[in-house]
Amino acid sequence: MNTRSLLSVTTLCLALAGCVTPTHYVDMKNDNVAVMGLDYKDFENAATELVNQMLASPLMVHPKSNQGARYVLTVSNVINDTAQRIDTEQLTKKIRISLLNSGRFVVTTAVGLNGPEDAMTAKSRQLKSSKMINQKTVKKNGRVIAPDFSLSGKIIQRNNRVDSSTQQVDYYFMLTMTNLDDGLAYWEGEYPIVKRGDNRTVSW
Amino acid sequence: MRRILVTCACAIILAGCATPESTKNYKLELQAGNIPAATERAVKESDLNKADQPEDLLWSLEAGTMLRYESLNERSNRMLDGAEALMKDDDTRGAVASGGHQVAAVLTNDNVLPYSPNVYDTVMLNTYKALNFWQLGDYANARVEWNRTDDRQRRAAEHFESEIAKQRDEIAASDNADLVNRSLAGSNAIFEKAGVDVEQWAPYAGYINPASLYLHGLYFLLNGESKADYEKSRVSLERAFALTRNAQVKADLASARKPSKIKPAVWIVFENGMAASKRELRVDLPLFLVTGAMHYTGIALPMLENGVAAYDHIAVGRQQSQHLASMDTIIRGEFKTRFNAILIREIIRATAKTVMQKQLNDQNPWLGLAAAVAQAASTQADLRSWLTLPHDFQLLKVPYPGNNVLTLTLPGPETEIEIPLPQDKRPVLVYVRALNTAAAPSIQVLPSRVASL
Repeated sequence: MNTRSLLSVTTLCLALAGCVTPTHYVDMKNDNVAVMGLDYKDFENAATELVNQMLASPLMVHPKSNQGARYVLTVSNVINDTAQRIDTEQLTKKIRISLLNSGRFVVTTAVGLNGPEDAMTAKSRQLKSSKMINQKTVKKNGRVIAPDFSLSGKIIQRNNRVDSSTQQVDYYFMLTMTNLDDGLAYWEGEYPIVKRGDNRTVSW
Repeated sequence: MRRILVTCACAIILAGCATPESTKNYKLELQAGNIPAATERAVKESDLNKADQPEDLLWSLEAGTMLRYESLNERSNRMLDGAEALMKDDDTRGAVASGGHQVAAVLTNDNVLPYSPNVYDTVMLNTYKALNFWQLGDYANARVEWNRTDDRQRRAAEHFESEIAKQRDEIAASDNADLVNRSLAGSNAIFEKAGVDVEQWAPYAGYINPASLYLHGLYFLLNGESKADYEKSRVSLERAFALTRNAQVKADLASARKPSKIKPAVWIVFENGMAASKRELRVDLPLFLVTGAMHYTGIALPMLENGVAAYDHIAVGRQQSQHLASMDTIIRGEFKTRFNAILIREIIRATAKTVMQKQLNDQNPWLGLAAAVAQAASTQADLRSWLTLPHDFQLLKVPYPGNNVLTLTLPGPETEIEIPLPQDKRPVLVYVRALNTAAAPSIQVLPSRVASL
C-alpha cells in the first residue's frame, strides 16, 4: 500500500470515527455538560443543600445529642411530580447517607409507608420456632425502635417559554421533616434548579 | 431514448407512493375487525431494531394503539416510548441533516420525508401512555405522563402561533410571493371544490384536546395525593368544561372543589370509531394546451374526510354516553392551520418541476415528454396520518353496581357486555374503545389508587 492510499484510508477512518462518541469517563468535579432533564449533578446539589439546611436547624438536634442520642428517621413518600422519569431514591438515598454520617440521625428500614424497606427485621423474629437456630441469637421482640421523624417531599417541574427558541424549566426539590410525636413539620426546605435551553422540543 | 427510459424509471422509483400496500392492507384488516392481524402488521412495520426500538414513527403509533386495544399495555408503552424518542429526533433534526430529504421532496413529493407528527399526535401519545400506566397500576409513571400531556398542550398554542408567523415570513421571502399569495387567496376555492365547508373547521380554543384535558383532570381527581393534585384537577376540569360544556365534566369540576366527597362510582370514557383521514385532491393542468412548450403540470393536495363513528353511543341501563370531544375537530383545526404551508410547498414544488420540464423540453422534446411523465407520476399528496385515533370521545358516569358487575349495552343489534369491577368498591374508570362494529370493543378497567376518600 503506498503512502497516498494509506493516508486516504486513515482520513476515511478518522472521518467515520468522528460520527460516534467514544465511551469515556466523566470528570464529575469539572463536568459542565447540562441537560434539560435532571441528572446526577442536580441530585447531588439538591441533596447537599437540603441536608445542610436540615442540619442547620436547631429543631433537628436530639435533646440528648451530647450523650450520643440520635433521632430515628423513616422515609415516607417523595412524589415525582415532574415530566421526567426519575427514581426519587436518587435524592433520598443521598440524603439518608449524609444524615447518617452527620451522627444526628439513624434511619429505620423496619417501618415504611408501604411496608418495611427491609422485611428481615420482622422475618428474623420468626426464627424462634426453628430448631436449626441457636435460640439465644434470635432477636427479641419489643426491641425495634419506632421512628421519631418522617421525611416526605415532592419534586415539581414548571416549564415556561422565554422566547421562540428558548424555554425555561424550573425544578423545585421540596422536603418536609414531620415529628411523628405531634404531627408537626419541624423542618421544611426547598431547593430550586433553573435551566434554560432549546425550545424546539420537550424537556424530557 | 435510453435517457427517457432512465428518467421514467427514476420518476417511478422516486415517486414516493402516496398509499403503500402495507397501509392498504392494514386498513382492510381494521375494516374487517381482524385486530390480531392489524396489530401484527403494525408491530412489524414499526421496524423494530436490535434494541427493540421502533424506527418508523407512524407505524409505531399505530402499533402502540393496537397493542393497547389488545390490552397489552406494557408492550404498548414500550412501543410508544420508542415513538416519543422518534418524535424528539424529528423536533431536533437540523436543516442540514434533513437537506437531502428536502431536496428529494421538492423533486418528488412529501412522502419521501420521514413522517412529521401533528401536535395532536404528540398529545395523544402521552395520553395513551398515561392511561396504560394507570391500567398497570403504576401511578408514579402515570403522573409523569399526565405532566407530559399537560406540557404538550401548553406547547400546542405556542407552536401554532409561531407556525402561522413562519408561514407569513415564508410567503414574504418567496421569489414567487405574488404567485403564492394569489394561490393562497384561492385556497378556499380548493376546499369548496372538494365539497368542504372550511368555515366549520375551527380548532378548540388554544388547539387544546379537551378529552386529554378531561382525563388529566379526572386522573388527579380520582388519584390525588395532595391538595396540589386536586388543584391540578380543578384547573383542568374547569378548562375542559369551558371547551365541552359537558354536564358530567361540570359535576366532576364540583367534586374537584370538594374532593373529600368522591364516592365509589364508574366513569365510562368511550373512544369511538376512527378519526378523520386524508384523501388526495388532484388538480392536473395539461399545459401544452396553453403554451405548447410543456406537457404537464399539476398539484396534489391532501384533503380531509370525516371520521367514522363505531356507535352512536353506548349505554348502561337507560343512561347513554354523552359527547365529550371530537377528535375530528382537533384534526381539522390543525389541518386547516397547516394547509397554507402545504399549499405553498406544493406550488413551489410544481413550479420547480415545471421549470425543469421546460428546460429539458428545450434541449429535446422527448426529454421534455419524459419529464412530464415523471412529474405526473411524482405529483402525489402526503396522506399519512395516525389512522386509529378515534372519531370522538363520549362520557358517562353511573353508580357502582351492587353486584360489582357493570352491564354495558352497545346499540344497533343490541349487545350486552358484562364487565367485572373490583370487589372493593372505589371510583373506577372504564375505558371503552370501539374502532368499528366489526371488531369487539376493547374494555379496560382502571381502578383509582385509593379505595375511596
